[in-house]
Amino acid sequence: MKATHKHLMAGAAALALLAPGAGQAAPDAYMIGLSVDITGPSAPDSGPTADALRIYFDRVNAQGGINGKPVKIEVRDNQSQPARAGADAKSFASDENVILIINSALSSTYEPVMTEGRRAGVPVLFAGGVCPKEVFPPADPLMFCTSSYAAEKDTEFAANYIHEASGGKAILGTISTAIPLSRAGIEHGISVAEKKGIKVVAHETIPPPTPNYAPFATKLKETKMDWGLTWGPWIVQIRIFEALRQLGWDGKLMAYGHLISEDEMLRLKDPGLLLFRTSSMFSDGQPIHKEVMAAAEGKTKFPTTYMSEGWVAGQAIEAALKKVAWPPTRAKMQEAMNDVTIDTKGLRGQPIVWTKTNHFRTESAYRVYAWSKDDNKPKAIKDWVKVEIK
Amino acid sequence: MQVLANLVVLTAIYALISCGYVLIYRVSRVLNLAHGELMMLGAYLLFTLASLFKGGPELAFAGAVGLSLLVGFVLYVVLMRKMTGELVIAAVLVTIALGILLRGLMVLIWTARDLHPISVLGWKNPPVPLGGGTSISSVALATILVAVVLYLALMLFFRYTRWGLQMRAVGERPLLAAQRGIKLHAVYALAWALSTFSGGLAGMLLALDSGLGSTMVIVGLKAFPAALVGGLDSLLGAVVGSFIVAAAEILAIHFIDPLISDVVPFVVLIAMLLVRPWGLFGTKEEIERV
Amino acid sequence: MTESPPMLRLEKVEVVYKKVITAIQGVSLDVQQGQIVVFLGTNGAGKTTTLRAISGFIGTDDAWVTEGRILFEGQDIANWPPQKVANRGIALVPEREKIFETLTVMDNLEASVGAGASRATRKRMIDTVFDHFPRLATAKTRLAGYLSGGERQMLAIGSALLCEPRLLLVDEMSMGLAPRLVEELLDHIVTLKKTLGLTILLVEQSAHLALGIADYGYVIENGRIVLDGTRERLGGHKDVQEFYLGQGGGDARKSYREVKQYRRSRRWYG
Repeated sequence: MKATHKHLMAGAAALALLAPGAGQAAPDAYMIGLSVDITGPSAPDSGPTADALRIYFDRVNAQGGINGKPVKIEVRDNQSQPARAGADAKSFASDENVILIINSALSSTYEPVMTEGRRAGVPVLFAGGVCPKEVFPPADPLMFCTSSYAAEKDTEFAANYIHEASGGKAILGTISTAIPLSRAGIEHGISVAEKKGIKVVAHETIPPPTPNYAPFATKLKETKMDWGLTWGPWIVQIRIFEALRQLGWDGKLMAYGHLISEDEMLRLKDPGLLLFRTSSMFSDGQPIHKEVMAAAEGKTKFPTTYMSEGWVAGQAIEAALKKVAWPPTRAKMQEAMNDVTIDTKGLRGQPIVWTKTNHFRTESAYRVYAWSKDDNKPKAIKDWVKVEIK
Repeated sequence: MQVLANLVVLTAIYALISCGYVLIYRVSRVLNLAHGELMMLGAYLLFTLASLFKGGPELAFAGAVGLSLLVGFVLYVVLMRKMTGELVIAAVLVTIALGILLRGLMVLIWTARDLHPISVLGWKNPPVPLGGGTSISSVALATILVAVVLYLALMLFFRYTRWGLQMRAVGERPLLAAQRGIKLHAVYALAWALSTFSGGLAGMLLALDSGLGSTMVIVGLKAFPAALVGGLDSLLGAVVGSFIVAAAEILAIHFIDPLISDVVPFVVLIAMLLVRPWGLFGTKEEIERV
Repeated sequence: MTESPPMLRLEKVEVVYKKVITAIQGVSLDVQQGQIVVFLGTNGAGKTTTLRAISGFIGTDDAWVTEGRILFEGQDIANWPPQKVANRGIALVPEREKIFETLTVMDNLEASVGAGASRATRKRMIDTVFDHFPRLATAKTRLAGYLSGGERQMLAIGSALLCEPRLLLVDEMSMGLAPRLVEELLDHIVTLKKTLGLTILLVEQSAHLALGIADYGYVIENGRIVLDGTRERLGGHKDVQEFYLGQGGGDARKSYREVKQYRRSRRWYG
């Protein structure tokens, strides 16, 4: 038993190393608390968001900070465990100088963080994960979200696109995962598609951790579907696609374009994989993409194309902080966030606009990317389509 | 036909994974609950070596397989050795702690994002047609072959070699084995090495077929019912258990609902635990004592 | 001291289980090279603990020699692990769990041959065992779990011999066996002593057979040695006659159960 404790402690010590910047609050900076999943199940999404925020504000601080003051982010690893995230939020909330809590982890951590935020009156920003319903109109006064995806809005766009691209003749198979949000999103997509007269032949829900996707793909392929729609964790979306291809399926799959998707498109180079997303791809080569890539180069273990979500969160925080006069308070921060327009400089199709009642964004825009053999890179095959969020 | 092919592939995957549980359990009655993490470690080692030896994918693969063997040996010597003679439950708890530690370390080193060792190795994974419109991926075919060769080799090893004989002796009565001069620690270390070797192979093949990410740990746990159904201390049992679990899962996917395929292995497991708690080929007396 | 130093000497050995339970205390005994020494005592007197202290504990026993020395050929082997003791030249035939039941007879023997022995050496050694116990040779391929009690004992002794011991410890060999079989096995022990030059420490509960072949004997009660002496001296001792030889005061032989009953009442009420 002694050895057990010893090794648990070694583990704890290793994890404790992950929380840099912990220490005395310097009153001479804008203080932000970040509770993020660095070593848990959501690490592949949350890790790059944390890296991007760090890189973003290192750069801001190097250029003189905001309103002449630096921004300091205290990072804690919550491993997507609700109890840890709650403890993080509590500790941030107990420090009077912290004016914003950021949470980036699985949605199971949201409730305890929101509870602490409300108790102490600290605004909470969700970034890099799914957006909680509290940020959609009518929004909770303290809850905000910059994440790009919104299940039902996304699948609605995708279903409309499939209808348009197939001339209404698609035989559609849909794939969700055993996550409520994913199933709800796909069910909404199905109802949109069916209303448009598309024949939906399958809706399979796949458990995310499965060693082999061939059995699922076999069943889907037997439905003779020629279009697929999926919205869920990337791993399921892409593995079912690859398994279908292994079986010789030659249809088109519409999949939600997570951070990782650009990298994956480069790997697969398959024109039949269509990615719908509200973020632009770095292969577009806009100035902002070059800027982010240059800033992130060598400062993260993730490919620089993963920085998009965290970067947008950084832009949002910077835009709000500019309106928070020194000395900062939580109330000032909340007020600033309640009325702000965030210029994403092309990382998204639209600026993010937060109002008193809408803490998601008033308008989203979607693009569809596919691999272009001629250009040998991903290319938008459908340009920004605006969608109003009410 | 395709369903049958899928069944064989999934059986091979489960058999390859559960082999590692059986090897350690058989000699020491310890359930290694860090097996999923160790599989993943093997796959990450392959990824890293592949990145290092860009020109020699075969070398990288062989190196990763060799390192997997070494990992188990080192783990035993520095960690599990201290647990020999302690209560089995204490040793199992140590493996849980080890799993947590390994998971954290792997995320720190490799970030847990989806990686594709096969691209780095420069290998391809084209489908292999089996006739009648049926096909499986090349890596899946390799997985079947590796599983068959590994199980045959292990069965011969246990039956005909001195080390194998000593492992069987230690598995039945460690004290008597020690009194007969068998070096317990060497035998346990070998079991751990073989376990991480087979687990590493499983992890590498899975990663080659469908990528490497944080979910591999859970895949490792999913093979656990297969090992239990067959009886934790029998290699033959592991194969049969893998087949039963794979068949239940694939039939559920095909004829009921893919969603329940996740729980089907555990339903099979519970049914087995009610009827025959020691598994199909397990040793009755040992389980009852727990 | 006219005698040569003993092959095995226990000096005031104390064994504690689970850090609190003292199983034996101040046990001292000598085993001279080439002798058969018998160690007598009733159930729970500490015989098996003494043997295990010599042959080594493993972690699950949670037992340690906390005091005293166990000298084998002059070297203190107290608290050595069993495999080291075995390789040093002491083999134990335990009372229970004495064979590998899931292995065949042949595999039981193979597994017991010391590491590094060549195939030819192994075969020669195992053939020697078959010479001693021809019944094992005919049961080579059988699973040891299906052997009869006598065959198990032969296999256990045979396996122990393959460790090439100079000192053989045998725990409660007669337990559960018919007297005729015990006699047969004791004959084997005598033969082994003669042909292999073995030194043997026999632990027994009932002494009337074992004492017959012993050169020397000890009696242990409640974890302490209470009596020792040559076969003749012990055999002539009143207590030994009564409790271990079952020859109480000219009456008919007392059964083991009766003797035990008697001892109990003496301990509690006497």
